[in-house]
Amino acid sequence: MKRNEAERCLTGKLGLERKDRRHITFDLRLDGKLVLPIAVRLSHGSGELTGHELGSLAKDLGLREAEFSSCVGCSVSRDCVYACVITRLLRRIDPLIQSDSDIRNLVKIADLLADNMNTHHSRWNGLETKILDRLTNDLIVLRGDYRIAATVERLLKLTTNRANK
Amino acid sequence: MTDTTYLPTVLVIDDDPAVHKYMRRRFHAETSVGLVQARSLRDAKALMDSSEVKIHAVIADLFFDPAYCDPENDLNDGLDILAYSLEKRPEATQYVLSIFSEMDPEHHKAERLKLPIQTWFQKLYQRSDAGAQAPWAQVERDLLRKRFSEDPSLKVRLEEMGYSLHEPPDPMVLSESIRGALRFPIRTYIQSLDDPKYQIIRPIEVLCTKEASDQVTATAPRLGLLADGVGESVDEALSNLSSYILDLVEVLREEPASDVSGYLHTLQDRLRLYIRGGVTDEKE
Repeated sequence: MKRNEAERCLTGKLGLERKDRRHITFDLRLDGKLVLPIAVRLSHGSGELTGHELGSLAKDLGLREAEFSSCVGCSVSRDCVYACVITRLLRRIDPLIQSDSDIRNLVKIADLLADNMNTHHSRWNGLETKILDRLTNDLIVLRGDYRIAATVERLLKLTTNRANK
Repeated sequence: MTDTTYLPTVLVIDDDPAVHKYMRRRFHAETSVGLVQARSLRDAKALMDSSEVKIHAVIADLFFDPAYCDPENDLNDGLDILAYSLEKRPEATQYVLSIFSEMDPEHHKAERLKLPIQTWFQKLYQRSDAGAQAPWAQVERDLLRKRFSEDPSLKVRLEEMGYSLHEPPDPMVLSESIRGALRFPIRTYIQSLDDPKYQIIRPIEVLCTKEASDQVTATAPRLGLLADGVGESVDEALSNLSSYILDLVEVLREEPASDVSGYLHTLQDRLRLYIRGGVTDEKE
């Protein structure tokens, strides 16, 4: 994958904010506020990404390499990919230190994802569904938290409905 | 089998920065032993006093420039700090590394202080290929052998894994077997960052794990970061992690204090414990 193609995906489809620092860094903001600093970083340079760079970029996003490559050209609207990836990222934060503001962000993103699944359910392909299942499984551990319980139930219901179709 | 209960770390005390650079490179490239380093006897004492820093062995130079001594605490040479280590870290194996390793008065002083010095290394070894006799190789062998003698279950585990160890086991075979069987990460420490604006106020513990792809992943478990440093070698992975930490410090520094909450706030607090100069000092 070309470096500029990956950068376009990160800033466009995934909605991350690019900054030139020691590395090129990509921050995640919601409503203008920083949610995750340096969600992803790339070294400066041009041309093709090396296998190592592509692997670590996907890993930073909580995706597998093939999943990231696939989401660059996927036909699902940007919100769902964006939501899927950032929910996954937020989940990587230690649940023990998740504060109200983290949970609010998590709920906001998960709701965005659920809305999108409802509206564009036919456009989700097999790979995206797998990512989504993994994400939902991650969120199940937060089911007991009253702040996110309703959102998790909603997501679970949607994924179960999909599986039964 | 990955073993995270035993990650040997050596404290190197020397006032010459070139020695530190050299030792860091050799230990990281050629052994499974991590490093924490001190240029002054005062810094060495602080590291020994810290419960956060793990020390399994101490390598000390003998003589220090007066600026690097700590007369207030009666720490005036390498043997004084080894005596302090014996009191604070009695389990740590002791070594001397000096161009004056053969001086009689120093040996007499060590005897008087009852210091259990394992080996008096000649500093000249640094500049030649000392092979199995090199300090880093011998320190690793000694530490692994010590682990073997202290942990009776280890022999059984090694034999179960097909390693044949005769009594007494050959030190080279033993260290190779333990390293091969347990595959523990290297526990080492970041003590400086490549930007004079920022100063590390306490060593950042880092675990370096070799992946199947031969790449090394460096993780700072106490900081709660979302990413690791990755590289072809331990030093490259550490450098990558350091630059990530610097970028992170700057991102948080630029963010309005009123917008920093939740995970960001926790992260900022953790970084403040380890780094001075850039997190939010100006906003406080």
